[in-house]
Amino acid sequence: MKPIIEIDHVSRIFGGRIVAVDDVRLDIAEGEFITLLGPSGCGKTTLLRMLAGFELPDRGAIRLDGQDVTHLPPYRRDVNMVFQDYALFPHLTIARNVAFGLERLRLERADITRKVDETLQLVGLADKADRMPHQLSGGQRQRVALARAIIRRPRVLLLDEPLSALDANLREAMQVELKHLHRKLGLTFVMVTHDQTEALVMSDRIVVMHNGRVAQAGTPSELYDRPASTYVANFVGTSNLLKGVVSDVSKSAITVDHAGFKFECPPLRSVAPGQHVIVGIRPEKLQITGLVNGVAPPANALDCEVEERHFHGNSIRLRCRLSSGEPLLCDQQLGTTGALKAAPAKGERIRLAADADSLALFTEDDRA
Amino acid sequence: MKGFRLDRLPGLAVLSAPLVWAVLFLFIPYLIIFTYSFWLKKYPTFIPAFQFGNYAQIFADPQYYQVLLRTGKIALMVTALSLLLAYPFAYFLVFKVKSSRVRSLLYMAVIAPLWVSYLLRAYIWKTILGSEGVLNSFLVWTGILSAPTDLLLYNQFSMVVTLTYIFIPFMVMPIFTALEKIPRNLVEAAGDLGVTPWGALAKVIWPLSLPGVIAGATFTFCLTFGDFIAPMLVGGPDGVMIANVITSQYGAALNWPLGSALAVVLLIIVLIIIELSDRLQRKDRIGLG
Repeated sequence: MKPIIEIDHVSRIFGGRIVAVDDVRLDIAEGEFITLLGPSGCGKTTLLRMLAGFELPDRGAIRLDGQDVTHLPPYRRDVNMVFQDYALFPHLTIARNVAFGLERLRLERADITRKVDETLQLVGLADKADRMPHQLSGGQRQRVALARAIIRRPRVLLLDEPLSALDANLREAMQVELKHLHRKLGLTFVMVTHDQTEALVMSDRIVVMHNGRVAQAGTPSELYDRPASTYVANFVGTSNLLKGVVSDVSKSAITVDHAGFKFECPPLRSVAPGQHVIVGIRPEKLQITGLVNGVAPPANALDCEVEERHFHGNSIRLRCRLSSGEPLLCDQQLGTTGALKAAPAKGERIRLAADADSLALFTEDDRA
Repeated sequence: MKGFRLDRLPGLAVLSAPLVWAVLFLFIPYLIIFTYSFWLKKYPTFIPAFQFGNYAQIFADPQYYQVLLRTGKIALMVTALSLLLAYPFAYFLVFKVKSSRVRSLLYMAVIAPLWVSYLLRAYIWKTILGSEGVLNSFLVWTGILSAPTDLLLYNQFSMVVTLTYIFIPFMVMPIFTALEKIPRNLVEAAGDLGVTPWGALAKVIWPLSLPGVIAGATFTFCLTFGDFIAPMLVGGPDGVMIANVITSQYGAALNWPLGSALAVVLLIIVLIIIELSDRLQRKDRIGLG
C-alpha cells in the first residue's frame, strides 16, 4: 500500500549547530495510528512540527499522499494538529473555535452549524457550544481541540502530547476514547509522546527516537519483546541489563557468561566468541524456581538475594542483588490470594530463571 | 485590639507618604478648582458664589465649545495616526524580528525619546517644519519645491505630526505588551486550520490585542486632549486647544472662575474616556481568563 506520509531523509538543524532531527526516513501508512516516542529533546516534536509545516526541514523531503509538501505553509496542508496545551482561541466560543477551520471553505451557514454540531456530538460536548474556553475543564478543552482538528477530516491528524496535561484517570479514559475515535474516523493519526505506556496502549506502530534519529520502529509488541538496542529496551518498559562475554556460538544458541552464570540466548545476532555483549531480561519474565542450594545454577538461572520488596497492587517488585554485585529487578504477579505472603521475604536468597526466548542480546555498539 | 492596631502600623506608615502627597497636591487643588468654577468674575478679581454661569458660558459661547470640539478632533487624529504607525511597528517587532537583541533595540528606539525633555522634542519639529527648516531645505534641494513653503508649520497638520511624535511611545508600549502576551501557538493553530497569515492577523491577533489598543488609544487621546505646549510652539491661529484657553483664563484674561470651569469640564471628559476604556478592556479580557 502506498504510504500517506513519506519522510525522506529529513534533517532539521537549529542555528546551524543543534541537530534536532537527523536524517530520518519513515513511511506512514494510511489509517495507521503511529506514535513518535522518546525523551524530551529527541526530535519527536520537531519532526511533528515539520509535518504540520511550522518548521521547514534543512534537508530531505516530506510527501503527503505522493505530493511534495516540504515547503508548503501550514495553511495549505491537509493535516491538522491537536496542540499540547490545546491552543484554543480564548476570544471565541466553543462552537466558533470548532468552526474555525471551516471558514475558509465557504460553506453555507447551515452546513457549518450542522458539521459543528456533529463534531461536538462526537466528542461529547454538544451542550457546551456556547461556552467560552476558559469556562471548560482541562479534559473538555482537550476534546474541543480534538473536535476543531478533526472537523475538516484532514488526511492526517497530528497530536502533540495530547494527554500530557490531564490527570492520570482522565488520561487513561482519553486514551481509550482517542483509540475509538481513530477507528471510527479511519484517519491517520501521528502522535508524539514521552509516555511509553500511552504509546504501547494506543499505537499500531511506535517509532522510538533518540538524538534526532529513529532508534527503532515497530509494533508495540515487537518493540517490547525484541528491542533493537539497550536504549529501546530501557525506554520501552524496564530491563535488567547484564554485561557478559560470549563463550560459545552454535546453531541453536549463543552462550554468554556473566560472573559465573550462563545464558543461552536465541541465535538472532551475529557475534563471535570472546565478544563483550549485554543480556537484557524483562523483570516480569523472571520466575522464582526455588531457594539457593549448593547445586550450581543451570543455564538462564540466576542466584540472588532479595534486598527490597515494593508492593505495586497487582504485582510485587523484588529488588535483588546478584552474587556478582549487580542489581536485578524481578516482578511477581499477585494473581491469587496469598500470593503476597508466598513472595520471598527480604534477605532471602532465591533462584530466578528466564525462558531462553525472553532473553535479548545486545552488542556494545547498540548503545547509541 | 491593641495588638491588632500595632500590626497595621507599618502598613499605614508605608501608605502615609503617598497618601499625604495625593491629598496635598491632587485632592486639595482639585477641590480649589472645583470651588472656583462656581465663583463670579468681578473686575478686577472674583468673588465667592455658587452659580452655574461659567458652565453655561462654555456651552453657549462658540468661542469655547468650538475649541473643545477642535481639541477632540485633533486628539482623535493624533490617536488614529499613532495607532496606524504603532500597530504595524509593534506587530513587526513581536512577530517578525527573530533576534531578541534587535527587538529590544528597536523597542528602545521608540521609548528613548521619553527621556528627552518634552519641550525639546516639540521644539525640534519647529526646526524641521519651518520655512527655513530641514524639511523645506530638503524639498527645495531635491527640486520637488522651487521655493520653501510655509504650509508645513503653524497649522493643525504640524500639531498632529508633533503630538503624534511625542505621544506615540504611549501607543507602542501597551500594544507591544498585548501582542507579546498572545501565545504563539494560537497563531500556529490558525495557520494549521487553513487560515492565511493575514486571516490570522484579522481573526486572532487583532481581537486578542484589543486591550492593548484600547489602553494605547486612551493614553494618547487623553494626553493630547490636555496638551498646551505643542499648540504654542507649532500650532497656528486655528491650532488653539482647550488647555491653551484655560491657561489664558488664568493669565491674561484673569478669569479664574471660567478657567476653573473649563478645567473641570476637561477633567470630566478625560475621566469619562478612562472609564469607558476601562469597561471595554474588562469586557475584552474575560476571554483571556
